[in-house]
Amino acid sequence: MDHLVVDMGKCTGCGICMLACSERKLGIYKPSAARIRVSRETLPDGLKVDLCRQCENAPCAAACPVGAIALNDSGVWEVEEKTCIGCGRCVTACPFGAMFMDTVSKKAFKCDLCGGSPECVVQCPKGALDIVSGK
Amino acid sequence: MKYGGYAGKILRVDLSSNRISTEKVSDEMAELYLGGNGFAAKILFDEVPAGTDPLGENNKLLFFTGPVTGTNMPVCGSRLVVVTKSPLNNRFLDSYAGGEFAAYMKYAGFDGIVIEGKASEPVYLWIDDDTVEIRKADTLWGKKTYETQNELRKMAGDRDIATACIGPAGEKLARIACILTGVHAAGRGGVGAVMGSKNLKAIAVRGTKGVEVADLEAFRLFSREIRGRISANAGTGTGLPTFGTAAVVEVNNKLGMLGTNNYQKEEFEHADLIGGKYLKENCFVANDACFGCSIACAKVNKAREGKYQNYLTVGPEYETLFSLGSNCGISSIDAIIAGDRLCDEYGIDTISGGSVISMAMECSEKGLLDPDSADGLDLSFGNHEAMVELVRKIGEREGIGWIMGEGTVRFAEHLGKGADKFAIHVKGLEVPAHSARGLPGMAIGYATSNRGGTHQDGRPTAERAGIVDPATTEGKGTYEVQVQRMTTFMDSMVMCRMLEGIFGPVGLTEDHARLVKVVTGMDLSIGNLKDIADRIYILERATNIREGENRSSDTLPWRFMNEPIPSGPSKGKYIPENVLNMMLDETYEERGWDKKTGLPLRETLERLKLVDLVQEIHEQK
Repeated sequence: MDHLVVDMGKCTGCGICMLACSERKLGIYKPSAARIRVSRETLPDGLKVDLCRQCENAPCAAACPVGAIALNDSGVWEVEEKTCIGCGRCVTACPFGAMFMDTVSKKAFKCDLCGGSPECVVQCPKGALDIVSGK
Repeated sequence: MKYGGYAGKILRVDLSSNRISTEKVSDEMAELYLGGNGFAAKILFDEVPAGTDPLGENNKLLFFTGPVTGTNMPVCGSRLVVVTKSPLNNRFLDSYAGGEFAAYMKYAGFDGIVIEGKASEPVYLWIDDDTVEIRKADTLWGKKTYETQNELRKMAGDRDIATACIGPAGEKLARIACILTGVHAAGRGGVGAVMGSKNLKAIAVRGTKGVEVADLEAFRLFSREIRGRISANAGTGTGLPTFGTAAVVEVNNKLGMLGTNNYQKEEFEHADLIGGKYLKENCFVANDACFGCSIACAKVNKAREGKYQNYLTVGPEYETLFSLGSNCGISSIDAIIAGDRLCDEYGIDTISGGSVISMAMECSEKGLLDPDSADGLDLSFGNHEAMVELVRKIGEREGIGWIMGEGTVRFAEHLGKGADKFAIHVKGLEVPAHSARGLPGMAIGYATSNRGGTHQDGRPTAERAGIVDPATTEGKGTYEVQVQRMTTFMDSMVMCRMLEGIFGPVGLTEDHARLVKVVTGMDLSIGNLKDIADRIYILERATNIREGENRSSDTLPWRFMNEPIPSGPSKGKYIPENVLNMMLDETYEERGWDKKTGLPLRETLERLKLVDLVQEIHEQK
């Protein structure tokens, strides 16, 4: 299954991946709507990047009570918006902090790899993000 | 608001009455003052009258963003401007920091935050989009800056927040105290002391809204072009990503323009031991970037074995390598790393902090400060243990650290006996690491800066790079006005200085106008931008004119006007009074200010739609 990987040796914590993501998905700059998250667990160091691993046995899909999270034709886990009931169980279930909830629409959202060419990978200025095949 | 980029709202918090309110940003405000420093300068001028005690309840502390903040324009994502009346020199003060705070403020829905009044007990401000609360900070008060910010993350139960806070130096009102935000500092002029005087320990912000630009397609095209130019440029594409600002140590030392031993000399024999290459090879841990920045000039460095083992810092930047290093005659990179970390932890401006320490060392050398008066410390140049101990003492406001935390001017008054000759400041703000004697443009930039000794109004870049001849003095007044127009514009958008090589290091360009267009939708000519920059600069100056500023305030430290550089490649260079006066005449001519008084002319004020100032400046004098 294709999925994102981050090389923390190259990541500078600039967060351009989040800006790129919301730019592509919504046409605005809104990190809270990004499908990837950069934050600092502690200061002064302690950078952390949360991204979807497109797990083989995805805990988010397993936790969903209405089956709203399913593999699409390209083998990527996707949230079917109209089915999602906004319960948030997938957010709790994800061990990587890569499931998110839109607080206004009450719909879960996640990385869908932009159909094969993730905008975060394209825009990362340090080449810290990549898309790899298989596990 | 009809323009893109802005959140359209300003948050106002009165800590005396606990009143929290918001107000709209008008289209006219954006048209006249652009944002960031421009907005804040206008509010400060209107609301903080002459004679206000900077550490009193009536001073205000303003945190502002610009229209480009929070967008994906590289190196523009999150620069914060903090504006207040400076407790260090009673003037208009704008102080800047990178990090992520400004972006998160914008995402919470605010172009600016205006802090007023004074809390009756230590508090912090919690902003969660539209929910704003003044909360007790009794458990945070007394804590150093990283512990405070880590604690705030725990209290919020969220690491997707941005924080700004003061350390013990700000709490104890040291006039050289800074504000730390993440791992970056709004360093200059004592913004930390103003925050401390309001009993405001910190601000934490969670922002989940978005920023919309005026023309997304045009913005995307331009931002990709700028990112490409950043990568292709030797400085922003290679030098800064590899070595950070530390590489300037070697560059300036080679030019004979690296302040050494309190600027007695400008060449440092051990420069190689504190420069970018040495740091990279011996102390480098990781790269670090401000939010939205594709350069990543910040370097995480760690001290090696020995006394300072395990001190880790984001930096030291070039300024600090000068202020705690060469200017104190110190060649121990490990001690400088430790000093930098302690400055950040206590919340001390590394430039002013280092400058007051190098001054103490020279005063000791000249017999104006004996060991008994210096808590028994041996203040010889090069004594790194004394330097680190003095940083601690300033932070704790202990012993001699108390008066040193008041800055060089007050320290000189305290010492008397002609110590003022060794206080290297302009208008009460300590001079940073760019040679006034070697670069005449930088010299006039210092002398005419509204906040004083700063390299962020006037700039050294074009002269240092040889784009403008550093040897000439004629024309430098006019040249530096162009530079100041560019920096005033950048401070109002608000964008980082690292872009000056990309957008142009001398004056305003078509690229600046294009940036405004794609972000806000305002279609402005270079001439329009020049007017906006001049309007803002005059407003800042008018804030100072009300306090008594005139032509005589625009001067340089005695040393730079009377003692030529004694040795090295720039030997013999200095700025005698007649040269300064010639450059001042040029400056006032270019700006439309009166050459005799240094006050903006009536017709200049009218042309720039500053008619309110005519009475303030010309009819009350």
